[in-house]
Amino acid sequence: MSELQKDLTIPIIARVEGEGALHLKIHEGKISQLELSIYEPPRLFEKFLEGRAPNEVIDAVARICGICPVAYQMSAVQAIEHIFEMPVTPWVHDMRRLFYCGEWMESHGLHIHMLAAPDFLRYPSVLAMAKDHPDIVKRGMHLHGLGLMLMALLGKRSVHPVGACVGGFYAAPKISAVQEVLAQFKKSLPLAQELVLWSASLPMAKVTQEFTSVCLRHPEEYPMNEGRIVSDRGLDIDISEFDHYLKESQVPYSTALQCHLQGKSYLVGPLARLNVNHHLLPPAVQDILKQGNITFPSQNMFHSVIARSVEIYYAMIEAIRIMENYVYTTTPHTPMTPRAGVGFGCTEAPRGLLWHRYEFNDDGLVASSRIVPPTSQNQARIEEDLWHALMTYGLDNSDDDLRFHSEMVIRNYDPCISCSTHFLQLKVDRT
Amino acid sequence: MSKIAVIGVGSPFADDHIAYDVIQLLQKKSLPSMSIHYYDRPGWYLLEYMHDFETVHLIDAIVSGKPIGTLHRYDDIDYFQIQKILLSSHNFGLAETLLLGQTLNQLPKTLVIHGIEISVDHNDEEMLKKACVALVERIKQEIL
Repeated sequence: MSELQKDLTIPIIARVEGEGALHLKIHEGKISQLELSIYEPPRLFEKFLEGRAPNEVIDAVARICGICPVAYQMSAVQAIEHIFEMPVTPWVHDMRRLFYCGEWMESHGLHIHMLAAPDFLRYPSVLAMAKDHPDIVKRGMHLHGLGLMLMALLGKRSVHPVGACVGGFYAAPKISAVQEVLAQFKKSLPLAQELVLWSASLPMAKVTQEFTSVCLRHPEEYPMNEGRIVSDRGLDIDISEFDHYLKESQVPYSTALQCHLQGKSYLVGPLARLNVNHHLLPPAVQDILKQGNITFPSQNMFHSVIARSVEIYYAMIEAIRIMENYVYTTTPHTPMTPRAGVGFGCTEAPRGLLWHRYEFNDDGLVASSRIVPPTSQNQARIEEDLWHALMTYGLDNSDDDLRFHSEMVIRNYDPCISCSTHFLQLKVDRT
Repeated sequence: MSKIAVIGVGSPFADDHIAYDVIQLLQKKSLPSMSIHYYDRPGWYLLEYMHDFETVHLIDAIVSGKPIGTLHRYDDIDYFQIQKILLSSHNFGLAETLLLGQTLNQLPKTLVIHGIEISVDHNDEEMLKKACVALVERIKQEIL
């Protein structure tokens, strides 16, 4: 076999949420085929939801993902309230935002320290990294834990939370419980500042690519629970128009659907959010960016790890702001009157845009549902990035080096394959 | 606060529910000498939960091929085998967490891991109930 022609397969991609594989075919020194294969069986959640009552949906969708259950609950609740024409009270708006801050911190904290940092610092795993960098790992664990604390405050438990319902929450947290969490957040804020500066100091390639960033945009706040779907290239649509512009399609080698914007791949997630919304960050976050000489927008995909760190710091500041203004209420949710109709929900999961569409029948039960998770939206972008990154890296590198580099590129997106249906086996064919 | 904790970990549902059941039984008894906690799949954050205690008795379900309901007891984490490759945080189980705690020097002075053998295919619930009661008695005897 010529050195310029080979097939390389990564049979299981490590340190990602779920299971997938990469098949790379190199012919005469060029990539002739590159397939990111998500081979976990379809989970059929959309079908499970048919016939379910509104609040059953909220509990059921939390089971789609162990890492981002809040996102699934928030997109679903928005869609259902859209159908039932329910207003969102200011208290509920703030509590949903607080709930989401917890999930961003929990998910980003885990990904940065357990999954991504070993790549940048050249360790095979967090276990190996912990020997030389114990304080970094402890910091990750602590920030992750603060996120869990917030999720449990409103969700009653951090794993598959059950506190959210259509109209708001089943119960309002007691003031003493909020004060306890608030004290922990205030004490730990310097850790998040350190995290931003540390992530910006990580050794990373200075490689830029052309890609379109897609996310929510809200006129007044950094997007979490609401907004219009926009891109950095002119897209500006209502969430109900998602289907007209963002098209899902099936590729034969993957159980997850891919998604394209007017025929082209696009990026969702923290880097996309910051590329579009960096001007909405509060002064404290802007100051730390200046201090670290960090600028957005960025077309360097490896800056995603910095974006996650920035969002952790932002989430802590936002959570502190909301908790400082917390008022207890005896009406934590508004009553619902189920009715037939079609509704849409779209919120910013830690990994990016999470779009839901529900149709309810006259009995107030789900007639049909559709869920488009961020990982399937990023799938085509990951393939495109791999193509570019491997060509830049050099295809004459050893299979082991190609495998490591491919996995690092993929992990950088923090793909949750379990959500998109799950991660990487690399197969390289050189001919 | 007691310096001794009994901590059950795992899902309260399906085959993994035995730690939840044991903690429920312990909480019904008057045992002021120990702090009793249950955490649903805490991942690496278990290390933070154990942080303030000198002695921790951990309870989890175990699959080793022994008969269902067999009680396991380990006081050395070297008994556990960990995966060489961390596939995802989903795969970051109790063994990996304890090894990380050892590396970070963040384990309690005394750590005992109690397990009850379960099956991933089909469990004899009566057998598991008896095993839970037996484990409660064993833990009581060890601590009191």
